[in-house]
Amino acid sequence: MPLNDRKIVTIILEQCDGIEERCDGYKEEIIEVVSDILEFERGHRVSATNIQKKINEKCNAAARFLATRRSQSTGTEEMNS
Amino acid sequence: MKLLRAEFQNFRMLRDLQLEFSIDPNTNLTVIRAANESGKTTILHGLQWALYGDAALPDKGEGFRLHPIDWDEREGNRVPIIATVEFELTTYRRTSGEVRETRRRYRLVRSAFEEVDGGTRRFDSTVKLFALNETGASPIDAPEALINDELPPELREVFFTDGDRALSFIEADVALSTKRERVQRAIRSLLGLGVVDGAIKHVRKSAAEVNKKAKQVGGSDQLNSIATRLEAMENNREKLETDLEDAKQQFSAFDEKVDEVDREIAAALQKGDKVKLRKDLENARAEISQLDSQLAAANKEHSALFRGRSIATGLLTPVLVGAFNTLEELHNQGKIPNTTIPVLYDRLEAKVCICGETLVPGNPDGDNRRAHIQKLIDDNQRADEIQEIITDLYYSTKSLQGGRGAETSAWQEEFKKVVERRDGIQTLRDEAGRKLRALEMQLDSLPDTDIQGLRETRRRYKDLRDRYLSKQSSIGTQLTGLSREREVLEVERDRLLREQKRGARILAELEVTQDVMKILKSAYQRITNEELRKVSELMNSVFLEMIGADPEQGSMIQRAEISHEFDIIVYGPNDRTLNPDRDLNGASRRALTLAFILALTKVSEVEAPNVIDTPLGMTSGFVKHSILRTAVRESTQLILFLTHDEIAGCEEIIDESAGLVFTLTNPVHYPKMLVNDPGVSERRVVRCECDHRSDCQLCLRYEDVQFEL
Repeated sequence: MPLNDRKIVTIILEQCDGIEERCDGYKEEIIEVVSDILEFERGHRVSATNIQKKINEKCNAAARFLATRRSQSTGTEEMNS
Repeated sequence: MKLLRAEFQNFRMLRDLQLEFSIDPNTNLTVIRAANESGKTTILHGLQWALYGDAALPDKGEGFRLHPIDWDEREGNRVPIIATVEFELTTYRRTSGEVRETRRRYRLVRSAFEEVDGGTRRFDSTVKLFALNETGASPIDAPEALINDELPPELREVFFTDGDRALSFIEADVALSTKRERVQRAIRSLLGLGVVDGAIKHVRKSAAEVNKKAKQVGGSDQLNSIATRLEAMENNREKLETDLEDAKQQFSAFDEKVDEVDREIAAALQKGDKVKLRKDLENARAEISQLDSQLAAANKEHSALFRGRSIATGLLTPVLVGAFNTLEELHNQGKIPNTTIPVLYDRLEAKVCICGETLVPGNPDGDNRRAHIQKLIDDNQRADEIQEIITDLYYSTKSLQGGRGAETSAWQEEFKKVVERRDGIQTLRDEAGRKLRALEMQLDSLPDTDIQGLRETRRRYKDLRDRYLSKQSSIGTQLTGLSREREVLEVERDRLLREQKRGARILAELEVTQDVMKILKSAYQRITNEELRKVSELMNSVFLEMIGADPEQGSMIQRAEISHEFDIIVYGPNDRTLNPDRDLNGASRRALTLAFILALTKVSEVEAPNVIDTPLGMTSGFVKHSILRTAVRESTQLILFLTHDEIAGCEEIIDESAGLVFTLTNPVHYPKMLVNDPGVSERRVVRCECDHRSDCQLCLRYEDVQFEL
């Protein structure tokens, strides 16, 4: 993260409040994704990295988490019904 | 970043100098006391050179010597120049839901060589960075990247400020767009907008990748079609954003050029407008030609007066009066005109005299009388020629005799008028001649600046600038339209994905990228709007406090703000805009720049040093104390280079706030300014531990002695 790490982290965390909790633990997952992306950006500035690949993977992992939770929840609902 | 210490070798007059800086949060001020020409600005340059290289030197280091000017070539022709800076970095990382603080110390060493045989040739500097730990120092690769990340070059002027030139954000010598760009760049950089912006771009690409996957889901032509359209729109958006960025840059570049040409025109006009002068010269010549014609006509008129009858009458009147009288007398006597001869012939013919006596021939009395009359006729005939002339004279001068006085006075009147007119024209002609000569001389003294050409260039640049401005707005409109259209299509695509069995996973990916994007965008907005407002408000309060202005008490300066266009604006009474360059005094301008720098650093919560050379110059009394107090309060680490005069009166503030104070002395100031001989023959800055209240054998100056007396 750049010179004002603390400030940006605080602001980003505040903005996460407005995100829909799409599944249990989703918001926390997204906070981690955003924090990591900013970390990647900072690292990328100091030393060029394959940042796009890293971000794609990060988003992909969060999507897998969301999809899995959703399917689990649907399964539970189906079992309950 | 906090600066811990610095060391210089052979950097101009810093032949061998070590400095330490206070990092105590309670006494964050370091004061380096130094008289003029004792290395203050050199240290400022040295620190920046260490961190940023030649780019940070005046004129980007071009022709800027680094080695000591009195370098003794017997010590070698190749002078090693070394600047070392040690600093501490604090990083914050969010791990397991908590923000953790880490402090690391580094040593940066920049070195270069200069060859001094005859001229000066500098070889590229090399920079090395070491992480300092308990066991020693470990080298770090690519040190520039770390420095650029921690102390971005665009913020160099925020962290390293030359008090005398601390005006780059408000100075008049640059275009408005350049000032805006500087302010915007500093704000963007210090508030971390660049990083968030970069993240938005990368996440947007991720979203585009996911959209491509949606095309491959199959099962729905409509989904495929929408995903394809979204892909095309994304490509279009990227192109438009590149074009927009280009248009913005072009606009700024041409705005700067317009401003540059404006300055050239103004400078040339100050000396004189050659084109206008040439036109004036032409007009002056035409005026002279016209006056010359008028003068020639007046001269003609003048000479015509001397050829006229009235001047002759006027001039000859005294002489002619006698002649006129004689003629009149002759006339009165009946001698003119001559009428005798015809009467006598008539009488001879009639043979009777006027008196009635006979004139009959043959009659003796008649013959006698006739002989007498004949004699009279003969006598008269002899005098006739003279008489005829006199008669002519009498009648021809009759008209002259009539208006003798009036003619003279008319001539005099006319003469006066003609002379006055001619003299008036001559005066105008003389003036026009002098004017012409002055213009010629002015024109000769002018440099060959083609103002007309410059105006033409300005018009061309302005046209191009306006064109790019209009292009920006056109692209902006296209992007807004594109964004609306895309939102609609995305909703439809997501709906179709939900209908597909294989679409759930892709939908999740899209939702993640959209949520991340939303967070980043709102963070970006928040930083741009709210944080900018905070910087603006803090700058205002710091500035007013520094200059002791109280808007409630009707002070001349009411407030200062940073506009949404990133202009630093100062307001006077009735919200009248004040021009910082014209309407603010030197102390207020300095205070405004320092207030901006301090507010920006404070709001960004960046831990960074503010190194300021002579911040209190041009200030005194309240403003001086206030600037110092406020700077100490608002800065995380404040390093000030102060002259003895700047310190005078601020000792108590330094007592309270300074963690470190030391003095630098230039030995060449002995014997004129230094009391004691430092025993150093070369030009070099030497340090002693004297603080703002003490002097030693080395640093004692005559003004201090006089002050104590």
